[in-house]
Amino acid sequence: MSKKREISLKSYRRRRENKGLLFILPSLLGVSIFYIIPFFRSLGYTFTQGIVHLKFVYFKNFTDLFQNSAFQTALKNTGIFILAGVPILILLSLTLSLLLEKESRHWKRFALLTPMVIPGAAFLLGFRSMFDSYGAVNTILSKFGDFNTDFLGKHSFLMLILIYLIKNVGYVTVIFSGAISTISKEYLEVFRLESSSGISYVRRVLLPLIAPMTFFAVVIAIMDCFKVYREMYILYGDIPPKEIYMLQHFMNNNFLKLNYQRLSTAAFLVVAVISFLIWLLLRLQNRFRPE
Amino acid sequence: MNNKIKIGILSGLLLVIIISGVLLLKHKDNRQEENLTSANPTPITENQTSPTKTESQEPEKSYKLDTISLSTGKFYEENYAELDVTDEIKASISIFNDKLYHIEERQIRQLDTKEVYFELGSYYQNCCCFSIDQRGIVWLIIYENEEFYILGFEPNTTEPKKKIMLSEFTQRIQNDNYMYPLSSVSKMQIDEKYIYMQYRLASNFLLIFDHSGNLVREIENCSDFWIEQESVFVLTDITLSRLIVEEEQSLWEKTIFGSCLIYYSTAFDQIFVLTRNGIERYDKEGLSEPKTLMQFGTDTSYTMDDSFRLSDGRLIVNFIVTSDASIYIGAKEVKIISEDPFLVQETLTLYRHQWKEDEPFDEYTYTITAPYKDPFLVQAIRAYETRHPDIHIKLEYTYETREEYLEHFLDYEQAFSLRIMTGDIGDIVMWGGQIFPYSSICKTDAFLDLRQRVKELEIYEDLNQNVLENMEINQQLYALPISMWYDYIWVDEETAERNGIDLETLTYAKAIELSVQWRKEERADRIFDDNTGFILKKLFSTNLPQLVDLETRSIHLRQDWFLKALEQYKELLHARYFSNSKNDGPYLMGNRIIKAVSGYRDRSVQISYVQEEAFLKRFNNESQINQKYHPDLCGEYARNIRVYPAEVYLISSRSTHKEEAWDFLSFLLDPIMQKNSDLKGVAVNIKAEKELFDAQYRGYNNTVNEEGWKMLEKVYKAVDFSYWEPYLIMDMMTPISKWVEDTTGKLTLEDALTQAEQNLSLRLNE
Repeated sequence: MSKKREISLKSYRRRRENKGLLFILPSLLGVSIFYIIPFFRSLGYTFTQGIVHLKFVYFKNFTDLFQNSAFQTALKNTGIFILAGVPILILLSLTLSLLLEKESRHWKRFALLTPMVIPGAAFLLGFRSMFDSYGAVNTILSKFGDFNTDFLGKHSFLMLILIYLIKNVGYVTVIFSGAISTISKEYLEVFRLESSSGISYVRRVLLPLIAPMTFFAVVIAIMDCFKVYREMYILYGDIPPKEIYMLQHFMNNNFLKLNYQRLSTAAFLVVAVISFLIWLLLRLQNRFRPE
Repeated sequence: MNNKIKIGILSGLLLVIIISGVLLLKHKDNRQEENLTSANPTPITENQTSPTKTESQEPEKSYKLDTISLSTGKFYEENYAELDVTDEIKASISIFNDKLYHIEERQIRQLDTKEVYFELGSYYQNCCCFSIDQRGIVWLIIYENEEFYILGFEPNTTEPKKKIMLSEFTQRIQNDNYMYPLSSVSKMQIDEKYIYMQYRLASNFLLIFDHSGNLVREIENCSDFWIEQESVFVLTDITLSRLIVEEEQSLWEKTIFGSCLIYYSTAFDQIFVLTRNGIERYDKEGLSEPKTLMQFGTDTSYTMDDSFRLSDGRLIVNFIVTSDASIYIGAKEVKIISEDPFLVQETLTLYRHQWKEDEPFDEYTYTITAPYKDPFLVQAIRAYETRHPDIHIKLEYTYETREEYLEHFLDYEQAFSLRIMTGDIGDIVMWGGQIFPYSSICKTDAFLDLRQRVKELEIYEDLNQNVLENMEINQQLYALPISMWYDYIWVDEETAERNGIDLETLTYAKAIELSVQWRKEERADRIFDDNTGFILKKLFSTNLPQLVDLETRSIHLRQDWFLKALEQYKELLHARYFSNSKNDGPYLMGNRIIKAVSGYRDRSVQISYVQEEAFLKRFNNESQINQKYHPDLCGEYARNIRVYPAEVYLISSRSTHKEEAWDFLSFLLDPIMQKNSDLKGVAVNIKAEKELFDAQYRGYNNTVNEEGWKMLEKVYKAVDFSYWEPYLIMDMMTPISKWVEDTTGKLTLEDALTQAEQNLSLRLNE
C-alpha cells in the first residue's frame, strides 16, 4: 500500500513539474531567443575573423586578446576595482545595517537608496562640483593651505571607488538589514548567556546565519562593479585615465570600431570569469552554511 | 471543474494574451512608422511612391539625355532658342492660349511658328512693355512726349480700342528723375479692373492702377507678380502672397527665401515660383506644402547663384509654364561690343524644361543609407533617376538635417555599428566625413575596396588623386570622398617678406620658435594673432601623421621640435604675447603675419571666394592691414597640407547591386554633380571645380579670380593626408592643454605627455 502511494506521489510530482515547465516555456523561449542563442552566436564569433567573409581562426582571437595591451590594462584595472571595491562595499553596508538594526524608523534605511533613484547625470554634476579642481572640497582645503588636489585626474581610481560606494551602499545595506531582521532574538539571548561581546556575536552567530544573503550581496556587488561604466563615461568619455580604463571601455570602444570578434572574445571571457566567481562563491556558501 | 480544465483554460488565456500582445505591438510599430518625426531615429524612406498606377497619371514622355531640341527637352546646355534682345522690350515674353509670344522685327510673333500676331509698326520706338491678356487683346505701354499711356488692340486690328493715360505714373517718373523712362517698366498685366505694372527703381514696386489711370495700390520690394481672375500673386524678397486689390490684408502669405519669378497657370490652377534652388509649385489657396519640379544643377547643366545668375553669369529674366508641363526659362546675356562708344548686345536664350510627375513603380532597385537627408544626395538621386528611368533608389535616413545628426552622431554611430554587423545598411552608405570612423571602417571587410574602380574611371585624371590616395590604408580605398574641406588662414605677405619668412615652408613649430625670438628682440611685427588655442590645435592637427602612425600604431610625442614648440607656446601664452584683435592695445605692437581663421572653404554655405575677399578687404580696411587668403601651414616633415573629406560614400560588401551602386558613386564624381551648389566643401573633381570657379567669377576682376584659384590649386596639389581623426587629437590635446593653461606649476609637461601617450595607446590598441 505504501509502495503504491509512493509511486503515485512520484508521478504526481512529475506531472506537476511538467506543467510547471509548460508555464515557464514562454519566458524560456524569450530568454533563449534574445540571450542564449545570441550568446552562442557570439561564442562562434570568437573563433572567426571578418564581418562579411568569416574566416575560422581557431584560438587566434584569444591569443591576440591576451597580448593586447589595452585589454591587459582593462583586465587588471577591473580586477583591482573588484578586489578593492567589493570588500569595502560589503563591510560598509554590513556595518551600516548593524547600526540601523535597532532603528525602528525605516525611512533612514530607505533614505540610503536615494542615490539609486537620482539620475546619473544629476548625481555626477553634484559630484563634479564637489571634487573638481575648483570644486567645493578643493575650495575648503585651500583655506588651510596649498591643498589643491587633482581628485578627478590623479586620484581617479579613488573617486571611482567613492562613486561605486555612494551608488550601491544603500541597496546592499537594505539587503543586509532584511537578512538581519529575520534572525530570531532567541539567538542573541542564548548567546548572551555565554558572552556579552557584540563583535563575537556578529562573528560567531550573525555572520554564519546571514551567510547565504552575504553571498548574494557579494554577487550583486560584483555585478555593480560593471555597472559603474555609465558614470565613468559621463565623467571621462570613452578614454578615461589609464588607471580606470575598464573592461567595459574596452568592449564598448571595440564595438564602435567594428571589432566584433575582439568584443565577443572579451565578453565571453568576462562571462566565464564571472561564472567561475559565482560558482566559487556558491561553493564557499555551502561550506559556511550554519548547521 | 477539475485541475486539467483549469490548466487548459489558463494556458489558453496565456496564449491569447501573448498573441494579442505581439499583434498589438506590431500594429503600434506600423502606426509609429507612419507618424515618423524628425526626432525619431528610425530610418525614414525618401522617394516612396505607391506602386499602384493612378488614373491621373501623366502621359508617357521621353526624358532621354540625347541631343534635345527646344520642343522636346530639358534645361541643358545644348538645348536652347536664342533671341537677340538688345532693345529692352524684346526681352518681354507673353503668353496667350498656351502659346508664347515675343517681339521680333517690330512684330509680336508666336515663338515656335514665327506667325505674326501683331504689327507694332510706329509704336515700336516708344513702346516699353507689351502684354497679351486672356481675351487676346494686345496692350502696349507707350512713352511719348514725356507722357506714359497704355494702348489696347483687339486681335487682328491695328487701331487701338482703348487708351489709358498714366498721368500719375508720368509724374512719379519725373519726381524720381528717371533717366531712361523706357526702361522703367519691366512687366505689365491687365485685367478687367486694373493695370498692374512692375516699376523698376532701386527696389522694385508693384503699382496697380485702375482703368482711369489712377494709382490704387503700391507694393514695395516686389520681385515679381502674376494676376489671376480675382486676385494677384505677389512675390517679395521673402514672401509669396495672394492679394485682392481692394482688401488691405492678403488672403494668405508664405515665407519664401531666395525667390525671383512667379507664374500662375490657369491650366494647372497652380502657382509656380522660380527660386535660387529651382522651381517650386504651390497650390492657389496656399495650403499645401510646395513641390519641387526642377532643381538647378540637378535637372539642369547650370547652377544658379544668389543674384539669379546662371553659373555662366547670365541673368534669369523670364519664366513661363505651359499646359504641357513645360517650363520656359529665359536667360539674358549682355556682351560688351565696344567700350567707347559703349555698346552692348543682349541675347535672350530660352530654355524649355519638362517636368515629370512622380511615376509609380514596382520596387526600388537599391538602397542608400545616410545619417541625414543631405540635400546634395537627394538631388543626386533625382538627377540619376532622371537619367536612368528604370532605376529607383530608396534613400533611408535617420535625421532630417545635418545639424540634428551632428547633435546625435554618437547615438547614430552606435546604432549603425550594429547595423553593419547584421548587414542592414543597404547597398550604399553615406557618412559624414568629418566624424567618419575612418580607421575602424578601413580595417574591416564590411565595405568594398573601391581603389581599382576609381582608377578605371574615364574622368580619373580630372580627380584629385592626392586626396584619393591619401584616403587609402594598406592600399585599399573603402570610403570614396566626393568633396573635401581644407583650412585656410589670413596672411600678411608683405610683413612676412619683410621679415624673411617663406610661408610655403613655414610650420607651426617654427612659427612659435620665431615668435619667441622676435619677442626677445622686441620686434614690432608678430607672426600670430591668437589667444583661443588656435595655434596649439593647429600644431596637433597639421602634424598628426608625424605624431601618431596609424598603420604601426606608434606614438611619437617626444620629438625635440614638438616638445620645444609646446614649451615655447606656453611661455608665449603666459607672457600674454597673443592678442585676438589689432585694437587690443598694448599686446599688439605691429603687423600680424597670420590671422587666426579657423574656417574652411565650403561651397554649400554659399559664400563665394569673392564674398570672402570682400569681407577680408573690409576687415583689412578697418584694421589698416593687408592680409590675403592662404592655405594652412604645412606639417613639420610632410611639407604638405591636410584636408578632410566632407562626405564619404561606401558600398556594402553584402550588396547584391554592387555594379549599379558603383555606377551611382561614379555619377557623384561626374562634373554634373561635382558642380552642384549643395556639395559640401570643394569638389574632388578638379576640372569641375575649375569650371565652376571660372563661371562664378566671370565678369569679376581677373586678379581676384586668379588668386582664388591659385590658392585652391595649391591645396589640391599639396594634400598630404586626407583623413580626420578628431578623437586622436582630443586624446593628445586634453592633458597637454591642461598643462599649457596651468599657472600653478604643479602640472609638468612630463605628466601631460604621459597622460596623452596613455590615452593614445589605449585608443590605438583597442
